[in-house]
Amino acid sequence: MTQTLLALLALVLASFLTFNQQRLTIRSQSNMVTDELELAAAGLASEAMAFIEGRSFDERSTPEKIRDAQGAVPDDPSQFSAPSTFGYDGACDYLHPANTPGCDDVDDLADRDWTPVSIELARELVIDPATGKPYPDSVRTRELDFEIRTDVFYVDTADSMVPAALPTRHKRVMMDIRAGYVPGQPEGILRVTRVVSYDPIKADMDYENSDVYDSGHTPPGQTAKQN
Amino acid sequence: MQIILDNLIAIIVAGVVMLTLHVTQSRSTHASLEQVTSHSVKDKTIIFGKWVEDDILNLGANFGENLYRFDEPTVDPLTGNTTVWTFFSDSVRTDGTELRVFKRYRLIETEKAVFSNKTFQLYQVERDTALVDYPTSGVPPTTAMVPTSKWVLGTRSIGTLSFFEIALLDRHGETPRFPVGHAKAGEIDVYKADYIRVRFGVVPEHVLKPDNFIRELYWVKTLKVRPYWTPPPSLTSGT
Repeated sequence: MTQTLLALLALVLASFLTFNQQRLTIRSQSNMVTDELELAAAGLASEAMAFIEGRSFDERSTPEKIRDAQGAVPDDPSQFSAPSTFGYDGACDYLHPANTPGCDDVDDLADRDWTPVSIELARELVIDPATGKPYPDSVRTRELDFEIRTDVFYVDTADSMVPAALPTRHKRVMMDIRAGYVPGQPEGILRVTRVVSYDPIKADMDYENSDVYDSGHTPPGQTAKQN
Repeated sequence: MQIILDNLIAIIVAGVVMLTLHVTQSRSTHASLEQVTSHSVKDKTIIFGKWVEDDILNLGANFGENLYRFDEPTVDPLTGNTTVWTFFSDSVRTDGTELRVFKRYRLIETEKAVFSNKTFQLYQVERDTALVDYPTSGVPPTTAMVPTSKWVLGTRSIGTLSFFEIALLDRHGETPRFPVGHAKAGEIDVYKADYIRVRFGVVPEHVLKPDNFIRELYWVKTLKVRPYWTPPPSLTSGT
């Protein structure tokens, strides 16, 4: 009887040890995957932010609007869109803005819900043992899926987090990224924020480099550029 | 025999306990190794990324306006990898001689790694530098004019890249190319590149069995290059 009890005790202890070890291993692996995804998400955020900053600051400073204004570049915040008009009904491609030309200014990304985005990883190859080179038709693309949501609002200064009621020269972009591989994080694994400030030189340069550029227009106070 | 039969239950229990402890210990060792490997590969990824970022941020230093400062990357159509990319900056020697500093990335195949029965070719980026003097008011040399002997293999390299891609992009996320009808139709218009995007993947050095939980770390950085104020020549002439 004593032996049986001791044996049972030994089994219970061993099971407890194993269970505990398994729990730690799973937690460690989960942390490693989250780490890996966070690194990829941080890169994705930098890329998406770069293309948000690349867009025109406001609907009134797009190349088309500057052309319509005979080349006049907005220079006063009162000329910008009201906060109530932020947002865009159509699709916005975060990584290839050319696919969604209507989503052309920073505040079009306001109040945008989770949007799927994929990043491409190394391609899988099947190697021909004879040559050591991949078979030409064996290449398969691998992707890592994320979702991005953004919000945009005016702020008084570049370091402010408080939304401004009226147009200013600064728009704060809030971006959340989540990955389906990390459960239990509905709000995302990463939040990044950046302020995009209005730069009339960039607006003018985007206009001059665009297809709608009309060299006959000379902005007030400037002479036509010589090339 | 009698002793064995008398203690059969104890022997079975002891065997089960020892087996359990062995498996636990083995898994614990594997998990520790995996953690170290994962930490190491993450560290390498970040450091290599920082090196590349430094190079791109210094690209075009001391250049005048409206001069391009990088060549079109050479791309392997099968894997999508950038195999060669050259970029440059300028400097001045103490005697006043102008100096063009060329830097070149070359992607070299190293070994093959198998994860989950899938084969991956691994690569190493080799970074070469060439310094070419030219007269102060002279025409700067192009990459094609750099003699092979001038290239010096530098450091800043890791050998477990799973892919490496450099893309020149405009502000719409597209690669700017010369239009149909242009003498260079289809080639990248380097003057119109607003961003340089660098992407690469790094895999762990040690393949553990069962396969590492982490098989590839992904790194990407999209950096804005110094803007051109005047419209680039490719927009203003057909040359």
